[in-house]
Amino acid sequence: MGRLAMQQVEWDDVQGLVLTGYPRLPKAAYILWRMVPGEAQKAKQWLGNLAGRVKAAAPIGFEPEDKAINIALSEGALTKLGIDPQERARFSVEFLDGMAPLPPPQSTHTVSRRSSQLGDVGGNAPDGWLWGGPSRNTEIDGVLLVYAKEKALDELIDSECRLMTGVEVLHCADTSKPLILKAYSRGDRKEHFGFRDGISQPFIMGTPAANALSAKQARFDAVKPGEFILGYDGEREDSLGAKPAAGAAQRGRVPPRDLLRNGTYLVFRHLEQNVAAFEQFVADAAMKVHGKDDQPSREWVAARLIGRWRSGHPLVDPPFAEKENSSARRPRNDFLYHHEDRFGLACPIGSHIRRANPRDALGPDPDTSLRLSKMHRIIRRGRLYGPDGVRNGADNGENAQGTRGIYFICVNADIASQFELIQHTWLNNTHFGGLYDERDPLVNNRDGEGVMTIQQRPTNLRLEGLPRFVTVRGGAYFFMPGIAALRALGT
Amino acid sequence: MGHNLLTIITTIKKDKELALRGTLASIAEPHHDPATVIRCKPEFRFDKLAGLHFCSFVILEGDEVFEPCLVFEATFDGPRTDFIRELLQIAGPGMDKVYQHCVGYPASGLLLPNIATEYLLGHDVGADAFFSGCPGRPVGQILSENRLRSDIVKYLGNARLSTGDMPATLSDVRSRMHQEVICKLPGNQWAETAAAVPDDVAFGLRRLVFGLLAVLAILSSLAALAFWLIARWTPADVYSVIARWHEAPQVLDSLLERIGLLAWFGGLMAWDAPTLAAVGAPVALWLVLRFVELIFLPSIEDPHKETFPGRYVRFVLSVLRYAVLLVLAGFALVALVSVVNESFPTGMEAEGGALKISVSAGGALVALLGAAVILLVLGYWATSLKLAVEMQQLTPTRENARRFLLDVVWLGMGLTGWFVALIVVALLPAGVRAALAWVVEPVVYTLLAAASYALATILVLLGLILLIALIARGLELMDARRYASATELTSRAYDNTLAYAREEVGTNAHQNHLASLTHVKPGLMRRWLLVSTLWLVNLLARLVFNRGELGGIPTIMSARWVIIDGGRRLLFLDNYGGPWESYLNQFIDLSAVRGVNAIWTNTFIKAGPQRRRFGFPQTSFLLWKGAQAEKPFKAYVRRSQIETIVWYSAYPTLSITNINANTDLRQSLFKPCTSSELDAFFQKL
Ligand code: HEM
Repeated sequence: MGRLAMQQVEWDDVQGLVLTGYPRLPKAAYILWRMVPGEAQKAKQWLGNLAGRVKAAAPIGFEPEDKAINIALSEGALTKLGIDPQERARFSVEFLDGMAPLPPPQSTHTVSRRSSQLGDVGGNAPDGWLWGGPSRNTEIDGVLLVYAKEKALDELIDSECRLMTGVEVLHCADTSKPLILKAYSRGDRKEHFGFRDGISQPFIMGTPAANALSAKQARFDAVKPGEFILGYDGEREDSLGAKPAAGAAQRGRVPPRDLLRNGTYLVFRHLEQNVAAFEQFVADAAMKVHGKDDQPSREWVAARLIGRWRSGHPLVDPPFAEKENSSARRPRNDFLYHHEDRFGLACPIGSHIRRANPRDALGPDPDTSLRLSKMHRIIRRGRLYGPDGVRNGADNGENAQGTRGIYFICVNADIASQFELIQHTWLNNTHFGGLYDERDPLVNNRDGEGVMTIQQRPTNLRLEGLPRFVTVRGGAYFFMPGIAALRALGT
Repeated sequence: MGHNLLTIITTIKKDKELALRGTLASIAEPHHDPATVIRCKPEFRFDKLAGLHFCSFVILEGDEVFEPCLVFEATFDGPRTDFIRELLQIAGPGMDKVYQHCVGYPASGLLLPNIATEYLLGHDVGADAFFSGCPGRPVGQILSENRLRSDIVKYLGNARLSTGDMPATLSDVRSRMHQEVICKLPGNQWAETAAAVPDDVAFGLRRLVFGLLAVLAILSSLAALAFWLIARWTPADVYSVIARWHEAPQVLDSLLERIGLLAWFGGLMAWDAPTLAAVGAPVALWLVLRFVELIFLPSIEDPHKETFPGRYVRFVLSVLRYAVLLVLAGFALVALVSVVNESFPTGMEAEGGALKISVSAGGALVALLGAAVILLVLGYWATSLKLAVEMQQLTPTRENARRFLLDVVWLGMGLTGWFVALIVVALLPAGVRAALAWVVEPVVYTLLAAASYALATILVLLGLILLIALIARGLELMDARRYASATELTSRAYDNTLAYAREEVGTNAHQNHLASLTHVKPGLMRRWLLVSTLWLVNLLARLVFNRGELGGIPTIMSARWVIIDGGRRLLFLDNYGGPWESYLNQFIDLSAVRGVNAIWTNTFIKAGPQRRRFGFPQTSFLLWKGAQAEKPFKAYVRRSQIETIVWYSAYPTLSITNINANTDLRQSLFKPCTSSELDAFFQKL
């Protein structure tokens, strides 16, 4: 029924990152830039030209083989480009406020509501961020995302930087090196803790990939376009109420252009991973639980934290459950929890994937639960940074010293109800799923030691003393405009 | 029993508002540590008030119409007077400093505590509706049950890890746990006995049903009177209309005869065609109605897809369905009576074909055995249909088919039961039957007549509902022109960020306080709608939603609605769990949206420099749309929020789900359990 009534998305106006993470282009760089004061006109020129180079989502299914460029702007850029207040007011408040705002001046609190919600307190607090926080490298007006094959990346960075007019690459306040965040993805798609990543992603209804889903998976994985692209219907049919523009149009005050159309919001988090601490904890816990810390016992514990084996096979998949390296087939993602694992005996209720997307296990009834959880999905496009290959013990030399982690990037149409909600209501929520005092084992705001319950027979296991595995080191909210809007901004 | 509440509203002296704000923030507001403990200030040791659950201080700013007011909200155990006395004992000087700023506060202050108490009690306005997520449980019980649970979890955790210490069976684990945690640990012995359950929780639903029946009875008596006054119809007349309907479907006779069904039954007992038709026709009609109803019934309870017409039609259909069931039951009972009596009630045998049953003992035995087998089969079928949803996801069509089949099965069981009753009665000796008839006949007769009146009453009520809905719709359409749309607030709602700056910060990561102030739309109808909705909400909160959820929302801890200023403003004070964003989402996406709409559709707010009036997002027939427009609704709530200056919670890190699970755990500690119950017991830990 939905498919007939669905609006056709203008894919040639949507930036490519929405539909693909560019799997053929393993290298990437996120160039943070700011506008040069007084040169707004030149910056507009640059943006207008860039519109011609930006990779669009159409033709769907076509994967670029040499390079791809996308761009996203922050609130500062919009203001400096001189958009009028009415246009500005149409952007979402979270975006306008930014990821790390200060509390209102009259308030007695020292931490802002948003930072608390996101868990950016204590060791994660924006004060300590490398960029995007209040103290260092604050003036970020946008990010240029460039993707290329192995060696070609540096060339692409160079040529793009040379084309910049009216804007400049931000330089790190401490080291005065340019803030060009280089990232990569591994051939086996594993992240630094050794888990295969990027398996579960929502599909946008109407795309060929979504149409090809099995009926079961389509029920929870096919999501309406409005959840990821502005200007279309989302899962909640009437979230905006009566159309506000209609009245305005009659009075002749309608904005001449629609900057939001086909745009989306891009959330960028610089997450540092403490691989050594993770491995240490897993070994200790294996010792406590199984009385030995051999490979299978450690894998057992590690898999319980995430909800998938390192190979990516989900714990709810019984035939594959105990076989870590069954690469015989692609990891399953067409599972739900309510009928397959209601009490978390296979995949713990507090594991990362179950918290990040509870699927049909959010409330007492699976239908309602699915309806709700589909309103809170994100498309993840993050990549790794820092030295690779430490985990397998291959080189514990100098490589082990460098910091490593994920440049977590996700795309959503409503930051408050997608990225932020996942953070505060699911990952960081001590009461998630009827639990008491635990948070996500990876992403959380805990400063001291954490706990995690592993549902088991005869009685549940309780892991204690979880240290912080992931630390927030920077971040910002961006707006990724449609290509026509980019062109409009450029004039 | 149950939680008691105070909402003390006092006018603030001229120009003292700012000073009071400062006083409250500096001496009363506890320190909310990020480490999730609440540390009270020395002048307001809320934590020393043993019975205090939640409390808050809020200031309602003055405007062109209203004077500035101070609101003190408290939820506690025990009588109001005792609470105030204790409060004045523990935080006397602090209270004195605060209320110095208020009009009418006795100059004697603490010197004459009775007068101060009187002043405070005199300004208590209570609440028009109140909801508590864990009704009836004192603070002490909540805290100690939570401690008990952590002790148990700690014990099991250790037992689990120090291998070999674990008894082999779950029931042994439980008795060992009992030994170690409850008998040996000091201070846990209280858990030996089960906690008392408040009456409203234990019997709430029953009370509600009895209350509804009583109201229906009164209305039905009025209906009976009306029938008699207008048409001179006696109850007997009314009933005979329904009882005589089975003569109508004579058409079915020939049909049944042709199929030969009659001949088959005839071997067993003497049925006449009208009798069979009388049973068959309502059954068929009932099935058709149920079928249509299921088509109207959305497979997914999605309040976004519901509309007034759809809902109303469904409602009417189900009333009709019950009416048909009533007719069927009527016939079955009359038939039973006629078998008992060997004739229809006086005056009726002339028209109706009486049911004559003549069975041999052998025939009866065969019939009863057959019935038993049928009942068994149907019972088994019903269970498997009920279980079907638990095992796997059904498509909407299959789910509807399942419900339909389940109803058919139940109907079949009912009919078989009736059949058995007929035969059993027919076999009774004549003397017993005569005695039975003496009792049964008047009872059945009265019941059916009463039910007919009740049905008539319900039909009238249905009409009334339609009338109110249409009037309300008219108001809604007019209001769309009278008030600015809340959609315009979406970009502007955020100018009062101070009002909610504390949310989610520190302790508020677990629990939050929301204070919202709105104006009630003028007009008698609006006020009546608001008052009656709140009355209903209050009733339902006491009797139905008393197990931790209000309309499916499991995160409200303690909430109250107060109509103030002689009905001109609505104050909503709410202690809830979790972040604001997802808390509000529940009101948008779950069935509670109807309650939210029914209450706040009668309100508006003033915002902006010109104090323009913005209406609540437009509802449709009071209950639908409205808050479902997510962004305008959230903007409206944001704009209506006022700053919570002081807030205290006795158990700031617990959720309502936690509290109720703790109580369940404690109550199930000593119940004998089946092995699957034992399993569930341990899974929850
Ligand atoms: C360093 C930090 C993180 C690591 C190492 C990590 C790792 C993983 C892994 C291994 C998976 C399973 C593979 C898959 O299903 O794609 C996963 C899934 C997921 N993660 Fe993370 N993650 C991190 C941070 C985050 C953050 C910050 C969020 C969101 C706010 C997030 C949201 C998700 C979601 C939505 C899923 C998919 C769950 C599903 O649909 O089943 N992750 N993550």
